[in-house]
Amino acid sequence: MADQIESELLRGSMDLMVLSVLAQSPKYGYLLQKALSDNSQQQIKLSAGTMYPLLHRLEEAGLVSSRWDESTGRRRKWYELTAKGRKKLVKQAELWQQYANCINRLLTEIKLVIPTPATQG
Amino acid sequence: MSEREFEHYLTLLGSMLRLRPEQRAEIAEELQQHLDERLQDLQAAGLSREDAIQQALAEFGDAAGLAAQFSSVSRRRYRRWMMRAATASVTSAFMVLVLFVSFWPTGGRIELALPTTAQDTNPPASESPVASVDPFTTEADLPTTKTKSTSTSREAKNADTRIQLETTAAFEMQEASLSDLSSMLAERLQHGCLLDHRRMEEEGVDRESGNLNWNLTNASLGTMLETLLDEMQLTYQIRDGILVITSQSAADDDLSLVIYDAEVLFSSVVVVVRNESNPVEEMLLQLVQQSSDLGKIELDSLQASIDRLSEKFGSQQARMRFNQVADLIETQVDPNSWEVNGGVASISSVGNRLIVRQTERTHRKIRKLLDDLAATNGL
Repeated sequence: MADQIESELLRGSMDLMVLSVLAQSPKYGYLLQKALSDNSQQQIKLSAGTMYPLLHRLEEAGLVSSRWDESTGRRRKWYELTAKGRKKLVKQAELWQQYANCINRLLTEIKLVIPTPATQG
Repeated sequence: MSEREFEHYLTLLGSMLRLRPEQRAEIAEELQQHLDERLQDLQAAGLSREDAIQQALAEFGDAAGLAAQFSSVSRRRYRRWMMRAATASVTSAFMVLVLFVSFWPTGGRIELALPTTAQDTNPPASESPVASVDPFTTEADLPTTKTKSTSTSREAKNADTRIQLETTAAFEMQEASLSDLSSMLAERLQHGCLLDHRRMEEEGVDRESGNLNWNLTNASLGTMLETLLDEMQLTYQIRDGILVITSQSAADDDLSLVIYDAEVLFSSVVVVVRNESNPVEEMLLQLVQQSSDLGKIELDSLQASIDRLSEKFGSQQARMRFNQVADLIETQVDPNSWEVNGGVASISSVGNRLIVRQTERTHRKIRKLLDDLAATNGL
């Protein structure tokens, strides 16, 4: 398996990933990026250039809210999941599970059809 | 090598963001924070300062691509303005149309318009009880409209647009930019809307600028436009029916000639005799036709009314009233713009018409003044 999950697959699920990381606690951009990387055992690296427009888009859609805060010693823009965002996350997570299960089943069948070198030998 | 590289990058990005200055600043600050923290971490991990800066920037990708992404997010946001036309707007559009049509030239040599109030939805003339109220002496029901336009197709288009601007509707607009306003108007106005980029840019106004908010439910489209544009030293003009948003200074250099048929101010009945040949007979004929339904018109009383009317229009008094109106306009509507006060605009009269050379913005005020005068029976 590749070190990093393929980008095409990534793109479709980025919203979901960002929402899920924000569901744990409010975060500013840099922290979110690190959390995402840590939570995925470094398999997912969301570039800053992708992440910030994405955050702004989620905010626009009302799924996250933001505020500037200096209480951590540095002025940063913190993002937080809204109630709407939480709902969306739950729904999307379900869909994703179904999708993943479906793909899993398909792949299992492929394994059965295509003989592996081990069974040949 | 220093953090100036970050600044360069952010400045470059900012210049490509098609957003309002506040938004640019906020995005720049957010990204600056990120770059600073990344720089610290990379240095802590053992990279040289120079390498750390390069890497931090590389992670952001090229400024142009990033700017495009931010801008596309923001465009979606601005499109969220909502506009709901109130039921009232349909009604008022119809009213204005009725009033407007009633003053449209009828093609004959004699034009006749009968008292029409804002509440009166009946088409005037043929169905109005002409004879029973003796319109020639009744002054109570002055028409609430309107200076009449000549019926060239261009003028007709302009009139369409003006009528549409008078419709009252409930608007909501949040943080809209000028281009949002323009696309909103384009959807709403029959003949469309344009932004005069060149003139606006001369004034340093960008199409994506503006933080336009509006939520009054009782204002007309025209009032909304005047108010919002005035804040930005902009205004609008109507060209071939198209609403053009431009800078005030450009519009101020652009005088247009408008002929006001101001006689609606002076009588509840407007009779314009354009040809001297036997006007009385023609009027008589027309009046008899119009009142034939009522069936009890005495020709003598009609004749008497017409005599009184002719006298009235021939009189010196009418002349004086025109001068009064001209004076009123010059003193009440943008006084400093008139020739008599050292400006460039001018006013003169021919027959029963006022010929006014003014900017469109001032023309709108004149129209309003004349309408108000007519509505309040001021003359």
